Amino acid sequence: MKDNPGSIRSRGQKWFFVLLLGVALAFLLLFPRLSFPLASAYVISLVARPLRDLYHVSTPARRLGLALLFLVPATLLIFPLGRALTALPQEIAEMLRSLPRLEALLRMKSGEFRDLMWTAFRWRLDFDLVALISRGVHQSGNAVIVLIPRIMGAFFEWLLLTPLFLWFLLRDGARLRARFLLTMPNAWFERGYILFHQFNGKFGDYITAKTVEASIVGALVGGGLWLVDFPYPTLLGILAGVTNILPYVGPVLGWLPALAVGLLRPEGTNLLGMNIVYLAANLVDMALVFPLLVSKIVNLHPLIVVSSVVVGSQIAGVGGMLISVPVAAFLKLLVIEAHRSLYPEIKS
Amino acid sequence: MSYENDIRRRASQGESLPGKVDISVLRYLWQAGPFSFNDQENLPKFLTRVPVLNSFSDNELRIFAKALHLRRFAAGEMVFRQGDVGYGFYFVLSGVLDVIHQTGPVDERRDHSIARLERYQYFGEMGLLQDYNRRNASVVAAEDTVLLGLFKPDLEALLDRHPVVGAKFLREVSLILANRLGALMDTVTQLRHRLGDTEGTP
Repeated sequence: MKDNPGSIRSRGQKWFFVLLLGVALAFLLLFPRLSFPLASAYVISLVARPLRDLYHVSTPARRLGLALLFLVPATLLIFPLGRALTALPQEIAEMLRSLPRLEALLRMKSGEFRDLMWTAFRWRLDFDLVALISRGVHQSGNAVIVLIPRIMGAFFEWLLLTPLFLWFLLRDGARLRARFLLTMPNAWFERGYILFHQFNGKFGDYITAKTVEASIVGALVGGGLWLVDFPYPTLLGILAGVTNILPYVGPVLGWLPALAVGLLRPEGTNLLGMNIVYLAANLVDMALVFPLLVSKIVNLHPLIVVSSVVVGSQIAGVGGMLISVPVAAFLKLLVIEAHRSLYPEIKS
Repeated sequence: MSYENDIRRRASQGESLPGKVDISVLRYLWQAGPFSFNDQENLPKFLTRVPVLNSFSDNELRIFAKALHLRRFAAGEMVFRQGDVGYGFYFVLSGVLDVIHQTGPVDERRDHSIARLERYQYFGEMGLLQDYNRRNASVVAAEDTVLLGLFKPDLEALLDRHPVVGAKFLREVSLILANRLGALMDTVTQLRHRLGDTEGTP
C-alpha cells in the first residue's frame, strides 16, 4: 500500500486498536476484583440473551408467545425450586453433623483393609490414607476459617457488583458494542466483526445450553433420589448439576459423593435405586439433552474437548474448565478462517 | 413507501396532498423519538433517498437504520480488496469511491477503474448472500467518505427480530441481483452473436 492519507490513517487505526485492547486486557488482569464480577455479568448477560431479545421483537403476539415460553416453565419450577431451597440448608447441616461419624467409619474400614492385606498377603501397609485425608481436610478447614472474613468480603463484593454490571450490560450492551466496533480499524472490520459475533454466539449458546443441561440433570438426579428415598437428594442433585457442566468427567464426579454417602451410611440407603437414578439421568442427558442442545454448538472431536478441558483447568481452574470448550470451538473458527484466506481454492 | 417520498411524489405529480396524518405516520413519529437529533437518528432521512429502499415505510427505515454501521474512510483508504472474503453490503452516505478491477498475472497486475460510486449508491450485496464470497473488485475511497455497512449478523438479527423489514430488504437485494443477472445475460447473448458473426456461424 502506498503512503497516502488513507493508508497512514489505516495504520494509525490498527495501532490504536491494538493499544486499546492491550490496555483493556492489562486492566482486567491487574484488577481481578473488577474483572471477575464483570466476567460473571457478561456470562449471565449471554445466558439472558433470549430474555433481552423479548424487547426487540416487533409484534405483541410474538412478544406474548416468547414471554409465555419463559413464564410457563418458570411457574412450573416454582414449587420444586422452593422446596429445594428450603431443604438445602438442612441437608448441608445434617451432612456436616455426620462428618465425624463418616471419618470414624472410614478409619474402621481402612483398618479392616490393612488387616486383610496383612493376613492374606503378609503386606504391611504403613501408609494411612484416611489419616492423611483427614489431616488435609482439617488443615484446609482451618485455613478456610482464617480466610473466611476475606472470602465473605470478596463474595459480598461480587454479589453486589455482578448484578450492577449485569444491569448496565443489559441496558447499554448494544451501545457499548457499537462503541467498541467503532474503534475497530476499517481494514479488520468485516472479518473482526464476524469473528466477534461468532465468538459471542458460540460462547453464549454453549453457556446457555450447559446451564439448561445441568439444570435438567440436577433436577432428574435430585427428583429421582427423593423418589427412592436416598439421603441428601437436593444437595446431591445440585452437585450432579454443577459437575455436569464439565464434559465427560462431570457425570462421574457428580456420582462419587452419592456413592460415598451410600457406602458410608449403608443403613437404610437404597444403593441400587441411587445408581439407577444416576444412570437414568445420564442416559437422558446423553441420548436427548446433549444431542439436542450442546453437540451442534460444540462440533469438536472428543479428543479436542478433553484436551481443552485439561488445558483450561491447568490455566484457570474450574472456570477454565467451563470456558475451555467454547474457546476451543472459537479457535477452530479462527483456524478455518485462516485456512480459507490462505487456501482460497480449497473448501475448509 | 415512506411518508416523505409519498408526499414528494404526489407534489411532483400535482396530486392532492392528504388532509390528515394517518396512524402509521403517528406511530413513526412516536417511535422515532422526536426529541433526539443525533447522526444515527438522521439516517432514515438519508435512506428515504436511496432508490433501492423505496418500498420501505418510515418506521421500517427507522428499524433498518438501527442495524447499520457507520464507517469513515480517508481518501485513498481501501474499503476492501479484490479477492478478500466479504461479509458486508454498503451504502454511500457521503464521498466518492472508485471500483477497481485487477487483471493479469500476480507480478503484472493492472488496475482498471470500472465504476465510480457516489452518495445514495450501494455495493457489496453478494457478500450478504453468499456463504463464502470473494470480492470481485477492490473499492477505494477517492475522497473522505462515510459508508453505512450492513453485515451478515445484522441481516440475521433483522430477519429474527423484524422479519418484515429483513424480508423486504432481501427482496430488494434479490431484485438488484436479478437486474444484474439480466444485464449480464444480455451482454453474454450479444457477445455470442458477435462471436457467431465473426466465425460465420449462426
